Amino acid sequence: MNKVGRLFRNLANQLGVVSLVSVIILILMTLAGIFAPFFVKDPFAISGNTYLPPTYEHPAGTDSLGRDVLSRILVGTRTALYVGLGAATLSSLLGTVIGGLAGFRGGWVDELLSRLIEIFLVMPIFFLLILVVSLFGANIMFTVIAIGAVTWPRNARIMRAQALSLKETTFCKAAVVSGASTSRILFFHIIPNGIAPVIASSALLIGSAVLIEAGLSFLGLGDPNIISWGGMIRDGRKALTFAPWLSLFPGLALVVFAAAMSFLGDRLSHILNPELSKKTM
Amino acid sequence: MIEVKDLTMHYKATLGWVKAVNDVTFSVDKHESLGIVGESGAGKSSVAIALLRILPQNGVIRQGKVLVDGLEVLSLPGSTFRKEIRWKKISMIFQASMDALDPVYTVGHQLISILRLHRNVSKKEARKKAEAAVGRVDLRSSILNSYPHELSGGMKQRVMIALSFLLIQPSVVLADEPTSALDVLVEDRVLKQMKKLQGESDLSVVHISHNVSTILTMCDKMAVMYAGEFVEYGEIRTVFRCCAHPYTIGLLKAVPSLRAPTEMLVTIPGTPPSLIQPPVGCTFAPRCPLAAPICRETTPPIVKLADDHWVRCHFARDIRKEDVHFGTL
Amino acid sequence: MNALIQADSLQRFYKQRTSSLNPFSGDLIPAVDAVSLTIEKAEILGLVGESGCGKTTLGKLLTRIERPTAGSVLFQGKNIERLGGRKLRKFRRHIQMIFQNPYDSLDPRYTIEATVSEPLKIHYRLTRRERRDKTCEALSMCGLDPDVLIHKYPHGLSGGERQRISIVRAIITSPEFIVADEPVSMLDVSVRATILNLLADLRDEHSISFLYITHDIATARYICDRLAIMYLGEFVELGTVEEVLTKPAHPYTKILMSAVPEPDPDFEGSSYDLREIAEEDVIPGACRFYPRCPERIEVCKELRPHLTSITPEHTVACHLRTSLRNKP
Repeated sequence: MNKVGRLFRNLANQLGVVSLVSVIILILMTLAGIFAPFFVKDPFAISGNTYLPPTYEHPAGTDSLGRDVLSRILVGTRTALYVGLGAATLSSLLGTVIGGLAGFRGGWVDELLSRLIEIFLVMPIFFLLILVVSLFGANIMFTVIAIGAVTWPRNARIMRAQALSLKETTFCKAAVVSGASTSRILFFHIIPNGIAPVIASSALLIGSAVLIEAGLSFLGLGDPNIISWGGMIRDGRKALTFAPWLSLFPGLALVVFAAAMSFLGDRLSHILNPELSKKTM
Repeated sequence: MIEVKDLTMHYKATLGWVKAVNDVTFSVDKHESLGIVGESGAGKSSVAIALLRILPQNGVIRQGKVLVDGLEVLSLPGSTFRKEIRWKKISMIFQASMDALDPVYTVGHQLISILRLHRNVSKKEARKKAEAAVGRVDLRSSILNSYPHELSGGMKQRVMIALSFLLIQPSVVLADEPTSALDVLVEDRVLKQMKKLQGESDLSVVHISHNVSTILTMCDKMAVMYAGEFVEYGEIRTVFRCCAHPYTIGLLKAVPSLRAPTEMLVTIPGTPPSLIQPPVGCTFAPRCPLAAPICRETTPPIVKLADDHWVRCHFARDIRKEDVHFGTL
Repeated sequence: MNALIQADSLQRFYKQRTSSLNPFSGDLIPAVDAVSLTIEKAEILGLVGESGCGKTTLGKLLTRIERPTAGSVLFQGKNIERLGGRKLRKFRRHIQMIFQNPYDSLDPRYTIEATVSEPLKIHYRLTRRERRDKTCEALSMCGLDPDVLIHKYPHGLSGGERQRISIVRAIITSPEFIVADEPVSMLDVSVRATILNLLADLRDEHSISFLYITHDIATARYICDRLAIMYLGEFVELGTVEEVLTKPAHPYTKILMSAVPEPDPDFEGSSYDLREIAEEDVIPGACRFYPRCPERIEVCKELRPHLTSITPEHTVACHLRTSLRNKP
């Protein structure tokens, strides 16, 4: 137990005030998003109390259909988490495996995969998403997959660079001589030792994925069945003059989430990368 | 010449103070060379760093006096030391010196600009001096027109030797593992050059190395360093024949020879102690086959065995080489 | 009876691009050029040379980390130079390698037990218990205390200990042959004997053969049975340790030996002086050592010498020795 305590204290020291605060905020938002909807009002409940300003009953007011804004924001947190984590996971999985394989194998495998990375690297995310929406309709899952499918090259490049340097380490060469297969070396030695900057990059990606999805919903291309902060901002546009809280509160939630994620990701990069340059002797 | 008294330098680490150099005392006359022998972590490079006052941010010289040609230099303000001592009276050559040459300028350009930075000479004169200097390390003067990458490691290191031994015209040269990165044949040549230059000049040379054979063949005096302090010090033949510190004896028995009859090589068991919390008493006691209770309680005194030989050991007078047995595995 | 390892005319060429614009340009640089050797069971062959002579490449060819461009390698009579893929990986339990850098040789994320038992996981189907037993056995065999070490991580261990653990990892599949590439160069002098004595013990008690690659001829003398001197991709001298070191025949060997200082202040160094050359200008068809040889004669410029015996235990590639031998 003491070990865990010391680990936390160490982590807290390394993170610094800003990112520590960010972590706390993110944890609170996550918990709120997961558990709060059970306690708060039904976000879909239409009522006659339209455009109510923030009151005790409705701490964030109600929207044009009389739905409680606070509950909608909290449910929107779930969407944000889904999009952020989903895209980041997909992106890092794809990027790590492809980049690691390219860097480790070298030769024609590297040539081929590097070209693949380059092709995906030039794809503009937003236009691809608009394309996806117009072809397949607005669906949150497609959005997540599309974001993941376009952002993996960045992680792949990072992992490829890591693999290129790690394969020269003595323990990797020893694994080759011991008869380990490529997949064994990749998954047991290269990826565990090289993944740190990918994690940092993925943290930043969570923030950007959420912002991308918000942008999409703001333009009206978001999934209509899902509550998203971007969509809420859009809905609040027509009421900006007399009911600004409808756009303000979801906007605030978006900014806080993205900023916290950004600070955290940035700090993680600082922590994980300089250590790496120390480790490579 | 250079005289060092009680030099002590520590580094501040997160877990405490690393006592890297403790009470180091030695002197090197003109025409003389001192070899400091020790293994990794002994603190030998830290001595050089302290003498040159190129300490990292967390390094502190706790005490000590360093006299170069009679002038105390540790107490000088940093700017004075930089302008008048470092690269003027004291020069240096390190293992990585050959890589210190900037790849985008010719060798000649660099030597000339360094010389002109430290001495008031014209470009023409500097060029002449540079040509003469590289000639004395058996390099053709055309080398001055080459770029560093066109030269081999050995050649580059010889250029740096020409710089630090000759061009700068120092009183003292600190050489920290100058040949460790070189192949055997190249090393042999470079060392021969260094020895020749030593003989031809008034220089005092402090030669730091982990290679006992190099020190024994190159230097006039020897200091054996362990865990931040000198455990044995003296004129080289005296130390070699009458070595009295168990560590020195172990070290000499651990080196394989090419010509002497083969004997089992010795290993000194254990590892060097932590410099943050060195052991009470003698720092070598945990690994010493002759350790007695007194060794673990009291710091051993400096025992003078001869005019030119002292040992830091409780039993210095009684120890003979043949009596010290280490394991072989 | 077949020798354990038999290599015939091994060649490994590298292409070095001469033009940065043309990807197909290139000189073929022979890192290893027509090297033949045999290694018997329970024998340590020392391979001595300077950096760039091809000794590491030769080690890689024998362990099949690289494939030779020509020549054959026989292990217990069977060709292995063309093995690939799965067959090669399965074969790897017979030939192992120990590397120079002990500080980099163990994956920092795994315990000693996990690292050492990895070859077992790759090659055998054993239970966890069986793997643990074999691991402990191998650790003890190399003079290490299993109970203390199996749960430790590399960062708590010294260079000497890490190198010993690398050796444990190498022997755990009971290989017949191990290539040791400069195993003690990065270790402190006071711990080198442990490793060297361990290698000798493994030869004596477990009949493992070694190719001991080094630039330090004095350590080679200490544990090797035979010695090969390598220069620019070729063997220039080969023989038993006594023969080569007491009666060195090749000028390069003599110069190498004289360049090694003795731990003795009264040691008089050599008077040999290698010619300095601006570039390693190898005259095609000539002896590779010709540009630097202090004893060269006319024929050296025209004809490449081949390894010929001067005694049954001693071969040398030098015109001086062969012409002198043939003198009436």
